[in-house]
Amino acid sequence: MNRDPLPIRILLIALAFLVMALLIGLPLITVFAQALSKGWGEYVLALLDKTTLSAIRLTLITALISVTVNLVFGVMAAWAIAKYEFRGKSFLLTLIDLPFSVSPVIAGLVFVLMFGLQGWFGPALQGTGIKIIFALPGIVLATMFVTFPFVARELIPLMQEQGTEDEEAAVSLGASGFQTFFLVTLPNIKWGLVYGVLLCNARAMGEFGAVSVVSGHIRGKTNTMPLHVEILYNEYNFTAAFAVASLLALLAFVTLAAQSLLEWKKGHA
Amino acid sequence: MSIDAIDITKDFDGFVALKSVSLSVNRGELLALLGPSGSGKTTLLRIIAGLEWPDAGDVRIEGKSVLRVNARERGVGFVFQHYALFRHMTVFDNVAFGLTVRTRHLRPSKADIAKRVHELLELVQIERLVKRYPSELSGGQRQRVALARALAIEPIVLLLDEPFGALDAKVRKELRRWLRRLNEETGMTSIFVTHDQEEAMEIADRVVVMSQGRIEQIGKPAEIYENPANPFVCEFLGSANRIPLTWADGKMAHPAIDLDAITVRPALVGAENIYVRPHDIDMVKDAAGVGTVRFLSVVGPIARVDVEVAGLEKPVEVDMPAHRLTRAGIEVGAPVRLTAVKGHVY
Amino acid sequence: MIPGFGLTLGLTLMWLSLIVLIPLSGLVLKAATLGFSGFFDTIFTARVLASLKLSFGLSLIAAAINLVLGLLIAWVLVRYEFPLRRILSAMVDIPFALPTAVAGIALTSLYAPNGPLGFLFGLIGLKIAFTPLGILVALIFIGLPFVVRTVEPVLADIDQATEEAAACLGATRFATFRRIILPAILPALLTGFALAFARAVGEYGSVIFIAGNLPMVSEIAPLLIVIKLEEFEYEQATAIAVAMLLASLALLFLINVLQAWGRKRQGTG
Ligand SMILES: Nc1ncnc2c1ncn2[C@@H]1O[C@H](COP(=O)(O)OP(=O)(O)O)[C@@H](O)[C@H]1O
Ligand SMILES: [Mg+2]
Repeated sequence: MNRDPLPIRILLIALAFLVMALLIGLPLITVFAQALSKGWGEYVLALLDKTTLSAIRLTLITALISVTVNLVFGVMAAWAIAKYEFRGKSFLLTLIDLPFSVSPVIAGLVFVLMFGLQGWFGPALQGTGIKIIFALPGIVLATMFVTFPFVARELIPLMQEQGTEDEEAAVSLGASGFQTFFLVTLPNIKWGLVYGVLLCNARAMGEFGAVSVVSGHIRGKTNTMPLHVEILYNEYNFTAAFAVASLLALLAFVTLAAQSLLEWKKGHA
Repeated sequence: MSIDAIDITKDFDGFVALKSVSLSVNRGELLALLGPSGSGKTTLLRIIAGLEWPDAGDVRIEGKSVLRVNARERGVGFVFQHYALFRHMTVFDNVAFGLTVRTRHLRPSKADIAKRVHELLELVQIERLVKRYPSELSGGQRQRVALARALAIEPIVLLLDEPFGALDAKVRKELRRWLRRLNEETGMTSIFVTHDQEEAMEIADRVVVMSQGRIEQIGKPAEIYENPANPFVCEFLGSANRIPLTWADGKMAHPAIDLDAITVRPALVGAENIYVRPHDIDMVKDAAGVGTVRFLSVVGPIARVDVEVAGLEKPVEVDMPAHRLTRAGIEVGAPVRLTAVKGHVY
Repeated sequence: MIPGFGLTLGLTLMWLSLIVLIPLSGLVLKAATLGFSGFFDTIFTARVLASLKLSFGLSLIAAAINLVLGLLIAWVLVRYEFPLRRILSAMVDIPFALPTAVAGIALTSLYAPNGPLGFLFGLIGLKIAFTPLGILVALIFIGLPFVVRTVEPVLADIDQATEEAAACLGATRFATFRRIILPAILPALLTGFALAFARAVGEYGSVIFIAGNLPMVSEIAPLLIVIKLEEFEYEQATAIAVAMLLASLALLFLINVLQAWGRKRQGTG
């Protein structure tokens, strides 16, 4: 498809590379260059720091809970939307997408307004001793909010494309709803599901704004990895900040690599 | 305008799509490029239009080479296989496009453009669709828009790539007769691509038969049908039974089929095969005949009969008027005798 | 009929309500307790107005720049074959996958006066990090994939024959671009623009490191929400959040309209 003259092509390709290198390539290189600027020893040391390890642990727990829950509900939402016709469907779709267009800071704020000391349920909670804001439940809630659409969004077009014939056939042969889902639907959507989970996970582990509002930044207790990066950075402990950041960057790479792999698989299916 | 393609060769990364193809189109002629899919018809048409460049050879319009003139300046009307209408424009804007993109001093006034568009839509008989979008049209209507759009720039020649290929049979017949009339009325040199021999035979002044990047034969429809230059053309223009020959004393023969009625030029003596069309075979019921009727079907007035003949791999196809079939008492399993009345020897 | 409609739709609605709708209504209810005058008194303070103006203004500029850069990159990716094309394509998704805090500190250390790019720009007297220009860089970074990924499929879908038809009808390359290609991709371009804009308005993590966060100068609206929260000024935080939320909803509506227009324009032609 060489429809444009060679000089124009070369110019545009060069420009594209320049833009991508400056805007995206350089920041990526910076993360690793800074993380390793004092050598591998310092790098490993920064990662093995006690507060860093606890941040990693908190991030993993948060991601595990919120991804699992969103996976279950994403599949349900996709099933309801893709396999049936009902009124208000496109409105429901818009609502599911809503978290995408809400600032993460607002996503955190809404939970502070619900469960914070001055919030709607704050006084009630105070009596019971359950802590939500500035504790794990708040972090998980905020993370679930921002990652709510990922799995459903990935599955809906896929399941719509596949129609309902397979499921109808299974049901007419006497399969129960669960059998139909696990034996017929799931094998058809598994790669989309994996991809949705990966995206959901990447966002859950990397979320900053929403979690920052509800976490309280208690070092070693309520700091997730991104928040830990912030604290280290603000303490001018750049090497450690970038070391933790490099882990998150690796997570992004793995996610994108898996995406490419899945796309390749789809193309060769 | 006359068009000459001279020794055109086109190579797509090692795949040779056209091999020294030469072709002359006379002024006002309606020419058909006929051939199976992949034979290079579209490529040749695109080279004439300036959408593709040959690796060797020349394209001349009215004797002048146009290889240095790009598609935009060649002034050739091109109708694409899938119409290539502009989806976001109405029928009016599609047809007017070629006029509205002209540089200011060559561009007709708005009123003149509107007048011209309406004339063209009248010509293709879809004036009432002027405000529709392509997605709101049927296949035949889209094709008419594509034609009107190509004609709007008053092209020096009209090139059409499988113009009726995607249409249903009735619309197709109607549109191809319309094209014939357009050519007669305007006298515009036109080339159209088709893989349908009936279409080519019906409306073209001359037919160019192509295969695997080469021209196999050029001629008037009746000419090439009567005298196909080679087995490929013979078989492509309609079914033909290939019958291997034996020769004795300069006379050809086949053990099962009577070929005595056919004479051949001395130059062809010793040729391997004769190709006989199904309707050029006479069939009579004959207990001593070496053929056996295996299959029989009547399609309207024509009866198609498959006759198994010892020594031939494929059954011989015979067409005969249906009323004669019953009169001759031919039925499945009947023994028959075959006589070829006409054939092509290669 | 496939079983499970009531169950899946019911659970979906319940979960959507618990995680997204009720918390968001809590925000709106809180804002309602302020009353109109309370709401406007909060919004119409110099500091809040300045932050909103900054957030929306810079987001608009960033989205406009992304419109051009995104079109360039989508064009190159769709229309040309060249070495490293797949790498370039994979890099486009980095801003989606890279946690915002990581992007934030990486951009900051690049554009800080002692960073490599900051130093270069310093030579021509341009200060980027810790000024509104820095915010702009971060917003361009996070918005780029939206335009590329919405325009790419539409651009790829343009039939080469329509461009050839235009050429045969006498259109110059530029006229073909302006009258055939641009109208075909316009809905996608505007959708990408609106998505990038919506994302930029709410962006927090990648901006706060590079912004400098000077009140009235380089303090974005989401940051002001966080600051108000930390000062326990819940009403003020809520008012700003609601103002932003309304803007987001308006944008969401606009995006839906644009997408419907795009589907129509792409119609089976
Ligand atoms: N742009 C191209 N690149 C590579 N091969 C091509 C290209 N265009 C056509 N070909 C090849 O050239 C041959 C002739 O194609 P074409 O002219 O389209 O045939 P026709 O129109 O007779 O079906 C085909 O085998 C086709 O695959
Ligand atoms: Mg063709």
